[in-house]
Amino acid sequence: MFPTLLRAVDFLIATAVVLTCIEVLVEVAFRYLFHLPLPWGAELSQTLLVWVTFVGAASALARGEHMAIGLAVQKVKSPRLRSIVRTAGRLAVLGFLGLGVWAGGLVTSRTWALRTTALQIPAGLLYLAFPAGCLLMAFIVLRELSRGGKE
Amino acid sequence: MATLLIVMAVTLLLGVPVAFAIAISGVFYLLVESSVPVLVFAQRMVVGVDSFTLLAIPLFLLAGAVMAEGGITPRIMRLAAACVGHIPGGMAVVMVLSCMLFGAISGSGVADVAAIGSIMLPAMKNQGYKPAFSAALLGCAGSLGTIIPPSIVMVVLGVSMGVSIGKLFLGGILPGILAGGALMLISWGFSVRENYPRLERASGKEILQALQGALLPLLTPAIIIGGIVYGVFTATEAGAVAVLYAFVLSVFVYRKVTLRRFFEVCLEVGRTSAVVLFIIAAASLFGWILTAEDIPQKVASFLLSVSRERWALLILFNLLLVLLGMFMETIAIILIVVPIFFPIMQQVGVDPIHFGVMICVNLAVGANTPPLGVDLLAACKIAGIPYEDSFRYILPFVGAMVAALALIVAFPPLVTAIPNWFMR
Repeated sequence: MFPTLLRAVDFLIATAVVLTCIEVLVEVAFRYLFHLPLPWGAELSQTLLVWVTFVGAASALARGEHMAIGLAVQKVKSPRLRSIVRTAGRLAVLGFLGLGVWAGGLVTSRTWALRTTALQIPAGLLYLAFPAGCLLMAFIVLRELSRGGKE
Repeated sequence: MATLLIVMAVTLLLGVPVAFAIAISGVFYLLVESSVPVLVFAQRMVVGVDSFTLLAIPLFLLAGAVMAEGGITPRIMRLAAACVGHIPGGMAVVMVLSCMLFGAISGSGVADVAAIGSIMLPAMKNQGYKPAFSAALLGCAGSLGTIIPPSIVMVVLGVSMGVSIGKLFLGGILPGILAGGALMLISWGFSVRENYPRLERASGKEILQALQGALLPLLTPAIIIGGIVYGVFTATEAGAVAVLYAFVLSVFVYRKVTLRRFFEVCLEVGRTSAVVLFIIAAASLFGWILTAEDIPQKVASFLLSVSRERWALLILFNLLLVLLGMFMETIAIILIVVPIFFPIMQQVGVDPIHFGVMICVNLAVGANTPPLGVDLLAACKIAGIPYEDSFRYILPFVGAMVAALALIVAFPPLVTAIPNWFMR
């Protein structure tokens, strides 16, 4: 089930990137060809960017693509100690993600009733990206933890 | 302040990714030492990336990635080989020039390393170059991608400092050429000593053919920079136009990329952008805490009490950046450190564009200094050698870049001459 979820997430990320390109190009075209501003353009593309950030961070986490200083952990000789160090790091990340789901959820619900100026969509839709991304990442970290201290 | 740094250092040592380490230290601070409600961190992290200018990051990355997929790397290398292949250490010098040319198309050091390295490193190995030597050189040469415009690092600098991204782009041209020249000089010296082979001298006709083959891709920087400088579009829009150009070139002209493959590249770029943007989100939380705690004012009054001499402050600042560059990622450093130092530098009369480009060059060095040398690490991965092996060779190359940096710090016109000429 988890791989399917990740594939769906990946599909959404790629689609968001394509949409962003198209949106910015359409905006340029409207300005030069029809001398019309696109009032909802920036709002749409920025919302997409925020979603790409936090959901994309989850996709990158699942593939170990985030930058880290690996040298210190690799220098630990005993495999047991190394696995303890890794687990401690993952628990710290998990704690952060847990807080992220909670705090992000609160911010989202408090801003849901507000409408954005151009698109008239809930302002909370922007903030929802954060708890959603944190929840996905928490799943990924939990899965890593359940597999023990391996790479 | 101490809490922030200790938590960050401990989490980094535990192998926690940089972005998370920054975010965790910020949240820990809010929980333990601050009266601000904790949930502010969620809002700050979202607001940190909710910016039209930052959209330029995925767009520039995508333009570079689509170009690379379109098979422009061999075209660029052929041109570089025709121009400089005949001097001793031909391949090494060709790699530096290829990285510089590709840097004018892509906006990221790691992308530059990947595009040039994946083709160039195997070829150099065949010619007898030591892989650790080539990887160290590749890391440094690739980092020129962030100095030579376009550059996503400069986009972030422009946002953080509130200065013209177009001017920063133009300001990076001479420093990029200077740093590249320094790297070529060192690789030439090395190659003479190690007796590395040279390539055959290309005839005038061959050079012309190579130029013709690389002409269309090399128009990209002209479109981007010309478009921004002459006010045709913003940096973000320039990124989107560059994507369109790369798409047309790779899909229709060179016919190397299918629509399906394009979609896959979009996913990869979405992921790489997310890594960068997540660092930006975390760093803007961190920077917000520093500002709320009046740290910029405290640092400013401390520094100005030590010295009001411009040179002393510039040297101090650059030493600090080199040190930070060893442990921290480029964009995080910019978002955290620039708001602290920019006001001081303006007070003592440092030109903002000079300051911004200087940071960019300094952090290109930082991308090659271990333990956290992002470009060097990427180069070692492609070379298939352990990260530590490259450390033996990195010092002379980093030294060359530091020498270029020193010149750039000492002579502001190296940076400001071109932007002042084009943009008043």
